[in-house]
Amino acid sequence: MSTYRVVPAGSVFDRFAKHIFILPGLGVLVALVIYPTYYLIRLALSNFDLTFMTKPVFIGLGNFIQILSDTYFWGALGNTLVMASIAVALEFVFGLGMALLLNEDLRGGRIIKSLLIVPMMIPPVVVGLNFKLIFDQFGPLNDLLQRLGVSCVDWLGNPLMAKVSVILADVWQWSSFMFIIFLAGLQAIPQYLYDSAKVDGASGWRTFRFITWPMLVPSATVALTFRVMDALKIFDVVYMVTSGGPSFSTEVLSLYIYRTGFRFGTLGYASAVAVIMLILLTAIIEVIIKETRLGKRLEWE
Amino acid sequence: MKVKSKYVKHCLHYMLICSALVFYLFPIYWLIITSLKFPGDVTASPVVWFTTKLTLDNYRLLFGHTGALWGAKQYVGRSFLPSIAPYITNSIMIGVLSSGFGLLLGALLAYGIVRFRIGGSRLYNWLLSLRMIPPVVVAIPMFTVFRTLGLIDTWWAVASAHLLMSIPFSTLLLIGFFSDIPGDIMEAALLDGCTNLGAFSRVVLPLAAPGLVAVFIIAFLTSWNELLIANVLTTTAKAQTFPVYTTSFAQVERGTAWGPAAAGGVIGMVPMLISSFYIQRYLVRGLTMGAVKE
Repeated sequence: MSTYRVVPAGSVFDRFAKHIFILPGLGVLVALVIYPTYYLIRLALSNFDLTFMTKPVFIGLGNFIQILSDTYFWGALGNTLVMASIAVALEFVFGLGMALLLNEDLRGGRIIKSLLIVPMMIPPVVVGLNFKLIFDQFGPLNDLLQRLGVSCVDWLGNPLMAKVSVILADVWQWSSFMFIIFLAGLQAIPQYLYDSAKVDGASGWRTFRFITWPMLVPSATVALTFRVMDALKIFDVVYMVTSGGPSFSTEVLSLYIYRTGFRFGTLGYASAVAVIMLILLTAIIEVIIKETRLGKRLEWE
Repeated sequence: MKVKSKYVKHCLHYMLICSALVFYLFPIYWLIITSLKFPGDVTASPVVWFTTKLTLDNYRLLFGHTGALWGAKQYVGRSFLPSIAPYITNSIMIGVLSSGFGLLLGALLAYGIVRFRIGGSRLYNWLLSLRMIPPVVVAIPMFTVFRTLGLIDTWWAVASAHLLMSIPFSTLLLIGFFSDIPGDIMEAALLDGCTNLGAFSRVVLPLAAPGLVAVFIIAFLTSWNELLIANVLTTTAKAQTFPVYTTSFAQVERGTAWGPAAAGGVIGMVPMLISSFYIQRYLVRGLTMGAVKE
């Protein structure tokens, strides 16, 4: 710090510089986080119906006790966990596969790369809309199946296939996310490691297992953390493609909270579910961040 | 023998890449071609995979064209479909407000953190954890707060809710960009009598300009794509954004408005297509909140 003492202590601004830089942003963030969090907890502990009540009435833990026996909540929780984990696992495999395919020098490699990352940047609402057209009973996917001699599939009308459809749409959009992170990770691996493996006569699989994979682990953890975060709050695509149906087979937590809060107006109950979702997500992410030491990846530490 | 196996491997390699391209590009092709088809072809059975009978009438319809469409003066769907123009305006304004203020506050905060070494990993983790909060959890208290303030259905409500995404995002990314600037340059500026504000505005910001633009664009795209919060905090065309407008197409019966719906979807991809070449370099950084650098 002593270096900076040479600076003339001129303006008032500079004396409080530290605070002037930090406070506005932090202040706005704290206001945007603290007050709403307090309000959310207050709502969760109260009985508040938008349609006929003007003020929340405190009822203690009533909402939480009700949630314990709410089969729709447990269904939505189960669907969220199942669909998110399957989707993220597939995205991981697809993304890694594509990154390995495109890591070599190829003609047109750069163009292929920029084409492959387009899905991830499309608004999720548009992706949902698009897959609604594609999964239609008389849409292109069923047409293709018929031409191949397979029977049509009722993609959105059958509980199991509806889940598959949502997972497929999510995989389509987000495997490119895994792809570019893995590609960046692969390109950071120094060539001499491969050269020495070649000299030692290592097979392709052994090169991958003992050189590529260990070097990829950091990117893999980051990619997984961010995808898990986002997959657990999936909303847009489900809302557009199936709206949670048929018979709640694709209902996810975000959609359930949205529906109970803003469609049925039971905002108190929805807040209680939201609190549970927040605690659950925090716990999951906290474990991941701790295990992967994400905070330590910052160079200014 | 060895040459042949290498050749086969090469072919297989290209075939896999081609199948990936088909898988990832077909849905985009399908959206674009659907938006250009005539109404009869959109829902035709068997499916029309390719046609040269194309028109821009779906787009004209979305922008409230009152003349003849597809050669017919009376198009029935017209009366159900509000013009997309005000929704686009709302989306742009909310996007600019939230990413502009987010960039300003984020840049100040990031400079403070880098220059004065405040916060450490706890602040970093806190900012990162804000990325994790589900929008639906934010939407409930925001809705009640803005309803009390009478701000529901305004740009300000949605934009300030989106600040919750854009400030942490801008801060974390700019911490990375500012740290990339050699410390000597900043020290030299301070020794030459620059105030902190001077060093910030005349040295740090110009040097980080490409990064600032990328942060602004990615934050704008995030706001442009966001559905849930915008949906909850708005009720009419006065502040509803493009994604909210798009959801109205999910409710209609099969086929009735698919042409215009696809056209709307294509319009929604425009900001991304315009900026994609610029932000590609920063995408890995941006998507991981600065945790991975390319």
